[in-house]
Amino acid sequence: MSGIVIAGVGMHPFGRYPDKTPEKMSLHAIQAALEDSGLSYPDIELVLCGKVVYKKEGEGIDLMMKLGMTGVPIYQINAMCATGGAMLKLAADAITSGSCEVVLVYGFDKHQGMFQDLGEQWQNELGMKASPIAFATVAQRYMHEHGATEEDFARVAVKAHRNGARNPNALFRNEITVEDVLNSPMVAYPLHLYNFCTPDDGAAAAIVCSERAAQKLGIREPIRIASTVMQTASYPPPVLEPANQYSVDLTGGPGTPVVTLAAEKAYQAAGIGPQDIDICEVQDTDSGHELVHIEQLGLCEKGEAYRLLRQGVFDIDGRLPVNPSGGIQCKGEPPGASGLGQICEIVWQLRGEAGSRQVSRDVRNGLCQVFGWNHVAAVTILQKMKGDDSQ
Amino acid sequence: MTIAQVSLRDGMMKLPGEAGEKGTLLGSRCGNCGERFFVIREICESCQSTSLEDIQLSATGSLYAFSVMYYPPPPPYRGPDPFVPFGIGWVELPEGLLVYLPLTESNPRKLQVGMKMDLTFGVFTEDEQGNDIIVPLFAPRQEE
Repeated sequence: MSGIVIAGVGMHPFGRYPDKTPEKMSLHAIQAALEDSGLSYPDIELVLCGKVVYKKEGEGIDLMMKLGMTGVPIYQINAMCATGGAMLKLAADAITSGSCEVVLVYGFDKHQGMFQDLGEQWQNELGMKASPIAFATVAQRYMHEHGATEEDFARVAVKAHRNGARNPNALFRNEITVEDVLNSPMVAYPLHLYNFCTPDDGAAAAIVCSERAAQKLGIREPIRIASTVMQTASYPPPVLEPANQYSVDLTGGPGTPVVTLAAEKAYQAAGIGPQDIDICEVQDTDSGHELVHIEQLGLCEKGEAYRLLRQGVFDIDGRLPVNPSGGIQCKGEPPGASGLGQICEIVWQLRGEAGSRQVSRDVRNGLCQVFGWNHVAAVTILQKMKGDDSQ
Repeated sequence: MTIAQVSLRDGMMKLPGEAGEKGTLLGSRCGNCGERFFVIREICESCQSTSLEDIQLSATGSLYAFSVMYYPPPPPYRGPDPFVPFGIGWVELPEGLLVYLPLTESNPRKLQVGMKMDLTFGVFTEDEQGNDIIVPLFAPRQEE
């Protein structure tokens, strides 16, 4: 797949803004993306607005009217924590269908506390689906199977904070040590407070258009969407992560994680393999899942990620920088916006515009991965076009 | 007034009887593809068949993965107030089914992957009528 590019991106920093409306944050991100692309709002032919938890029903549509009544179709999208990736897929499909050439995707949220009502009532009454404990069982099994330790999970958080400290869009901008993580309260064994992402507020936006429109409109540095895939769980369920949340029949053999299913399709559509990925942003709801997702994406062998982390492979100056933005462990997670936050980071990194956290290597292929309730995954592969013969 | 015992959820378990009959976990087996599920289902997740038969699951297993929660989950959590940390785990039943349920043990040092577990039933909370709401839990097997 190709012929579709990101023309511009913009973000309102993620953080806690009790006195700021989602409207203000969204307009900030949208105007930054428009400015980045050099386009103006009347150029937009379709708007996709993502939000997951914010309660005001019409907010996405309401605020677009403030930008001007251009008659553009506007849809509110919710694919849980995979919303950003899911919207990019819809935007790409809309452009591929020929129905439009320039799409604005933006997401925002104001998120406080844990999700309250996922899964079945009885599981929530028992507290079994509280996000931390559901994540932590996966981390516990990872330790058991592969020999990782609580220190390894702490190292994930330390790396995240080293990067986040350099990111003006991050909530947490302080460096921490392994000891800090291990001394932070245990939330759900084996994960400590600093191992988790934090729900917060924010907005992010991207302008997506056809390559043809990008040329016509004079976009200064388009970044190609080499592929974008959205996928839900497929039977048989993978061990520990079944979509039904409470049972797995093992006789049919182990199922494939939804992230792997999405990644395989994304690599195939992009015509590249995991070995070609130079940089990535993966869903780090917790330090355990950062490692698990790196492996599920095929970026290394199963059980190998924590060892590569120890060697510095995933550092900003490593062979495969992972979450150079600090991830949602540092940015926090406004679920409607977090997926597009990843896209912003990879676009900046591919263009060489990531400031003090710019990776040192030359990077060409970047991957973004989100994972959300209930077993929804989206994988997007972005590609630098500069110096590309096919341009 | 007699306090009745009620299941946390329909189709999940058969409560222990007053005459000492053992309680069990309930599930479904698909009449078409044979897949099995904990908690009675109406549609097979694998093949979408609606020909499912009720089955009883084993009352023993081995611990596959676990965690302990140290902070109170948000509502509608109905556990003890003030909050008490609780354990949960995936338990592998001998028939090849993994199930996710609370554990009686909340000290991670006393939990170990592979340890033998036995099904038990406990009072979790009470409903609006004052009946005991019973939940299935797995307990590490006591050394004999």
